[in-house]
Amino acid sequence: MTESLQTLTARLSAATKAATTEITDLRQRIATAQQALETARTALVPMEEFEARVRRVVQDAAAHWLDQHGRSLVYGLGQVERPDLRGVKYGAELLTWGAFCAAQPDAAVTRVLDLARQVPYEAGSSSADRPALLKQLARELATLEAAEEAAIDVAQAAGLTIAHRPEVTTRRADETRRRELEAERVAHRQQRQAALDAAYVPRTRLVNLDVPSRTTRSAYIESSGRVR
Amino acid sequence: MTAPASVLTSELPALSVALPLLFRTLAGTAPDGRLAISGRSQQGVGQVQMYLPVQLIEDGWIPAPVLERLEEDLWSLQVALAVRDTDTVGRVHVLHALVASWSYARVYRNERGQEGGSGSHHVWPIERLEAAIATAEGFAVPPTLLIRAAGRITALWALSAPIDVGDRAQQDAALARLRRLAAVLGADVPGEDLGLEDLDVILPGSLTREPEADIAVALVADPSCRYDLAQIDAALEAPAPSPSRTVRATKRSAPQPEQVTP
Repeated sequence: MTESLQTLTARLSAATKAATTEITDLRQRIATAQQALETARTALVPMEEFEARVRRVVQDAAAHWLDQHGRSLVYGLGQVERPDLRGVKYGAELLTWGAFCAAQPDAAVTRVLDLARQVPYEAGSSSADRPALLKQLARELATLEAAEEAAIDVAQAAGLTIAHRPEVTTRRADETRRRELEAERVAHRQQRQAALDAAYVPRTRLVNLDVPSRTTRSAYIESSGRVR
Repeated sequence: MTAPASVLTSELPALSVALPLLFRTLAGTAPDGRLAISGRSQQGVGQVQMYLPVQLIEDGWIPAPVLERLEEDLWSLQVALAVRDTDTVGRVHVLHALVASWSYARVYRNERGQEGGSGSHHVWPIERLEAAIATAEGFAVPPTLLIRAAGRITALWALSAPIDVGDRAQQDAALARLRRLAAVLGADVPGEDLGLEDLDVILPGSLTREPEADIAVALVADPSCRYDLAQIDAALEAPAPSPSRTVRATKRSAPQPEQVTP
């Protein structure tokens, strides 16, 4: 008898340990997957894409400057009488980033890239590939989370005391509250409709039935078409 | 004089049945569009002109804006027959139901058969009202909804597929069909000066003010009555229904009298 109890205890202990190990392993994998997802979300674009962005920014700045000040520059200095730079704010505008981009776009690009290369740069996937990657990582994370949640439900049903992750507890509480609120809303609406129905019947009687000559509830309908 | 017992004990469709059915009938299952609702409060200090998005119409529920109005006062409310566009104010674009209505004025009558004098008073022409109801009910396609308000009986037929009325030609065709329906049933034929946007239906439970104060009542609310246009057109081709009580035959299932075996 004692021996069989010891065997049973040993088996239960082993099962508990196996369940706990499995859940711990799942949680570690969830943490890894969350980290991978976050890394993929925040990683920088590859350097080639970064360079293309720099070129585009320089082009935009140049185009904007020329659009705003280009004509003022040539019409200010190109006049026959009183040539000046009033149109470009007495020349100060010529020292701006936009003017530099418009005058020497390659130099502007080189300057920005030289600055960027002095900062640590860890590139991830390209912006074109990023949405698919994020979707795949999110799907893997969701699968792991669902497996962990189900494993804990099974363990709890078997009598093991293992708490769900805080986000699961919060989500389940929110869902329960949402269902309660929906049930309350439906009950309240039913109550209002029932009150309206209750008020409607006396009104119809008051108007239609109290004065017999105004009764228009059809005897035909009352008799389901069998009035003679 | 007392009213007949059958009248006093009759079961009218509840508002929570009639109104959701009315809105579902008018809105159909259109993915978008709006129903135009207009009206004013009993006390005359409140007026409402609103568009109810059809997405807000749920089976079995009185739409919340309408429920609120009916809770706060005896509103006089009408809902337009045709569904309006969402992006164009006031433009009708689809029709999910056909309508016919019979209007009456009260008559000055002495119920003892004397002309004028003592005992004479204004009464509704009950026989004509009953005849209109019988005509609608006796039609080859019984109406989905039958509403009685002061001086008017309105019958509504739900269509299983909507009619597009986005352009002028389609609107004219729909109006022609409504005029034909009214003519066959002996109802009020919509005038040539009326457009589809002018046709509306009074909401059961709301107040009529003209020709006098009264509560609109749903007499029949039968969601199983939903028809193809072909069925309606075939019914229009059939011999005109007679309001005579001797020939009317209901299409609705009626409780059968108990069979007594000796």
